[in-house]
Amino acid sequence: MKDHEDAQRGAARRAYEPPQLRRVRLVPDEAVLASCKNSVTSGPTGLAGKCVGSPSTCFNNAS
Amino acid sequence: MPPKPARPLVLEVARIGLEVRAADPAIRLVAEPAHVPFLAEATVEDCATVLLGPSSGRAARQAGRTLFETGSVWRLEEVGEQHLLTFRSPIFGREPYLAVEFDREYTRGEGETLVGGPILSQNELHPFVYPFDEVVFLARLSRARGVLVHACGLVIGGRGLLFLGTSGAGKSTTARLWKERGGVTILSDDRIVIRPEAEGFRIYGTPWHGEEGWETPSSARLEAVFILEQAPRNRIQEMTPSTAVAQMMVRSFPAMWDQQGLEFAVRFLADLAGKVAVRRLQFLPDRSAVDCVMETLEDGGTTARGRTEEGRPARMRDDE
Repeated sequence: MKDHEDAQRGAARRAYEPPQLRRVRLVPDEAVLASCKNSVTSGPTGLAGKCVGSPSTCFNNAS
Repeated sequence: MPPKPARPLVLEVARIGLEVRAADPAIRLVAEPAHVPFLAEATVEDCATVLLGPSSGRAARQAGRTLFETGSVWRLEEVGEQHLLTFRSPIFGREPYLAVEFDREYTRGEGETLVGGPILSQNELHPFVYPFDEVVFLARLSRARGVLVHACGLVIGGRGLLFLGTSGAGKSTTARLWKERGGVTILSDDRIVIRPEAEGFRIYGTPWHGEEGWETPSSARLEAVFILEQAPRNRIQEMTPSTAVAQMMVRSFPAMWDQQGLEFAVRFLADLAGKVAVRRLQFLPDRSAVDCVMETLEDGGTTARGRTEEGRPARMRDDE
């Protein structure tokens, strides 16, 4: 009986797969909301949501 | 007779509120056009409050322990029991143009903003200026509420579809193609909030739109997720849950400064990948991509069960 239960459990169990390392690409400026969204112009001075950050982190929010 | 206090602005995104009040009753609060549809008329149960006044230079004098530095517009510091968010721009010198101190749960904040800066000028206070409101929302979402993702979200026949991608992946193009098809509501072409609900997930529109400027304060039950990839032909590939989680994680906005928040985001996306189909969508930027997705949804269902991934896994490989 016990053998039968073990066999059933074994069949339901997925085959072991060793852990794998995967490399995924992160865009750091985007991930931390550090880049400008300069497609938007608003605010009292017209700068809100525009390019108020460092020019080096500027990008066109084209997506 | 003292002036009547200005009416606060309450921004509501994904059933989460952010109420902003002006410390000076003479200052008029103004919402940006994209935020206007998201202003709440009624009380929002889960709501943070922020009081903003003109800068006194206090924030520039405060010194805290740096928790997170973006190297650009904003940084986060710990000052005593509080979290201090500061926003700077070379245009406005060394002093922050905005500094707001919050409790650790981001439920109550008090801050100052530079007069003549991007937020306060000519007696008008524009509190929902990128990226302040978005940073506050993602901090609050990271407290087990949900995850903000870089995605185009839409609703078709009551079904919520999510197309994730970094800048240039084709989110706004996707929004335009589906809009042209008709019968579709675009929740946002750039930022979507995902929150859990009974036996599944719900996607919510946000005011933080992309190039096409689509944003709708609406929501739908999440039926399927696609990772966008422009290609010379249309192709949809199933993904294993682990690949799906990694691909979604790099297209989301977790609270990078907070271990608890990061762990929550990974668990949340793993749970999602176990319940909702996540696929890679290689697509041509034309109507055929929409037809390809519709065929997949009609043929294959939308649950995450019984999926396989093409290709034999290598010991280490790039997912992109």
